[in-house]
Amino acid sequence: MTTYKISKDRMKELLNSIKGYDVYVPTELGDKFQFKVLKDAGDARLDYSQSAKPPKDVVFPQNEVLMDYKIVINGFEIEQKLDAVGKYVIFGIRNCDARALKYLDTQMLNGKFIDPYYAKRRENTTVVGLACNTPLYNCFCKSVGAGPHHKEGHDIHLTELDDGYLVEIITDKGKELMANSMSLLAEASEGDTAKQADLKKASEDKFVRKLDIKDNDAKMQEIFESDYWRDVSDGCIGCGICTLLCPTCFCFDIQDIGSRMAGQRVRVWDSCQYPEYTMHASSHNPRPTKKERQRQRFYHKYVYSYKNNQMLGCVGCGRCINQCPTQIDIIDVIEGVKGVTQDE
Amino acid sequence: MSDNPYEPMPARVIATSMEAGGIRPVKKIQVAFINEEDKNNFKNVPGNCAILSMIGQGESMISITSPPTVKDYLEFAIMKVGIVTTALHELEVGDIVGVRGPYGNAFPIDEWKGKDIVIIGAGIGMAPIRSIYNYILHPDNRKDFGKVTLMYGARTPNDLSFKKELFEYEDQDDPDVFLCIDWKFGPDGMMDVDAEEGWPRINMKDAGATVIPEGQTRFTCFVPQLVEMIKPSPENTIAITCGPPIAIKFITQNLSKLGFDDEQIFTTMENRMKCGIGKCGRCNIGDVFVCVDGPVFNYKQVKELAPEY
Repeated sequence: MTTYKISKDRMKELLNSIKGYDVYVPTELGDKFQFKVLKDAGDARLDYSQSAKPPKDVVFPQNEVLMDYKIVINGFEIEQKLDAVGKYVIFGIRNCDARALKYLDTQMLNGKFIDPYYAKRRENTTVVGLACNTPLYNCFCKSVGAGPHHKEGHDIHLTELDDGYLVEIITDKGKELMANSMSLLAEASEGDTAKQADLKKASEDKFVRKLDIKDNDAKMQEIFESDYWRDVSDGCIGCGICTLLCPTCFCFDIQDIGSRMAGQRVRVWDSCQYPEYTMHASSHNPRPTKKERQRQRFYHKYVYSYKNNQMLGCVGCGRCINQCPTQIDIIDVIEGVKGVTQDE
Repeated sequence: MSDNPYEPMPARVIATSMEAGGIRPVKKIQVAFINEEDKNNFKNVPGNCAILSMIGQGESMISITSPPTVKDYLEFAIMKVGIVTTALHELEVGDIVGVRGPYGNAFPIDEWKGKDIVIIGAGIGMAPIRSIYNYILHPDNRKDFGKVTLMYGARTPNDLSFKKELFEYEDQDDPDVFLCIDWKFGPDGMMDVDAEEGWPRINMKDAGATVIPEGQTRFTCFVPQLVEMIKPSPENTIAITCGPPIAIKFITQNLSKLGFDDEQIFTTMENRMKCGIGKCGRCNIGDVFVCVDGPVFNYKQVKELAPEY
């Protein structure tokens, strides 16, 4: 595989040269960053740290119309909305969010049934990853089996250097995206790749917080019924922001929006932190309090996902820590498991 | 049938009947697919569920109560508790409803051949296991199984679902049927009112010691006590139970006391579901998605599940 290089000025030309795709790039939003469809290459902020919301909604929108319905004489008519899916590029995604897409694949594309909406969007999405040189305080991707320069799930991998970007075209999808833009690229020198290795090392050294998950799985299974889970969820106000901002959370609800005669069947994100999420029609609730609901979040990410898909459901992006209004900290909670005794 | 598992298939309501009254009435509806292709592709086995779609109102996961021996229609027993089930209750013959499925695993009925079968239902819990006794009691299959015992309880006689067929079975030699109601019991086990006529109270503290009068099939007690009193023999027997979680808990406890192994007891765990295809997340018990890995579990598997149901 050849490694290419592109200067920072030419990067804008590259962005403008992508045709036929909706290109999602990080843009400024107040003091935060947000992935938005590119209108002008000048808006792209490839020097961003982390987007407030993960770009998960490109492949799994927060509100997605599954079908239009219409009641007619003698029945109903359904019009599927699968064809409305376009072609997308997520440009400049961080390794944590790209890995989260791999995780979503294990949920949505595995098993007895395949989710056709997700499958179509995912197939039509090209992922251009950007190596992370600026991990934030609460980032811990290195502790959960990845790292800031990982290329997992990338079709093209970019690394920012002082005077440009290294470009590694990894998959056929990546080749297709770059087909018309190859003239903008030059071959990278040995000095550039050496610089890349230095940057990787420097970035990995920047991590402040660490999580040790060795033997965590077995220990968590032992203490399922411990009061520890009541204690850690004590402050929780059930707002659900930890799940709504999580790049790997996939839970959803299906609702009919419209009148009884015509409307749309819509898939909307849901959260295991809401009591109604699991409540039976009889009002029996398998997860009646925030203790069970927070426990579900930690166990799904650190035990169930690993057992079912051999992949942790946490990519270490730290968003749930940064945004929790009551400082529930997933690193502290999972680290704290080690100190729990069985009869506590 | 479309490749899209979310797309409901149209079906016409061909018969309805009220099965139970009260504040949470139960209505039985029979639906037949409009397209011949959908009908042929829909292959259900006892234990399966389907998602009924009231277009414009939403969807609900409902157990299929008709056995696979019935080819022409699907039957559902629906308790009126929420928006969708209320809309389903308004259906009349000729109306159109959306159906998708079948979902979930199955009762391993073929492995039960040659054994005695005990079926224990509580409340609306009789609906998911009705397909089993309908399958077993079908003339083509009856010879493959031993003795069949049905035990069923609800709050009042009016709340008993499928009472028409159950009352008919009571008068027949096969199967054995025992029914119970519990509404004339207070918190301390007895209320200062007369028992329902024809439904004698039994001593809840020591139900096992009750002497059953010849031919008596109706009692006032809870379902777990009914099991304690009837004392089904565990020898070469399979017990299937469904009901509210609390009833399942005590029924299985009492079956264990009678000597049933965990692998002889089956139950169906009906959690709240939305997608039915293992994607939306809400029906999980630990690492298991009930809609695809369940809803049928034997008691050994239930004990291995996370204690969160």
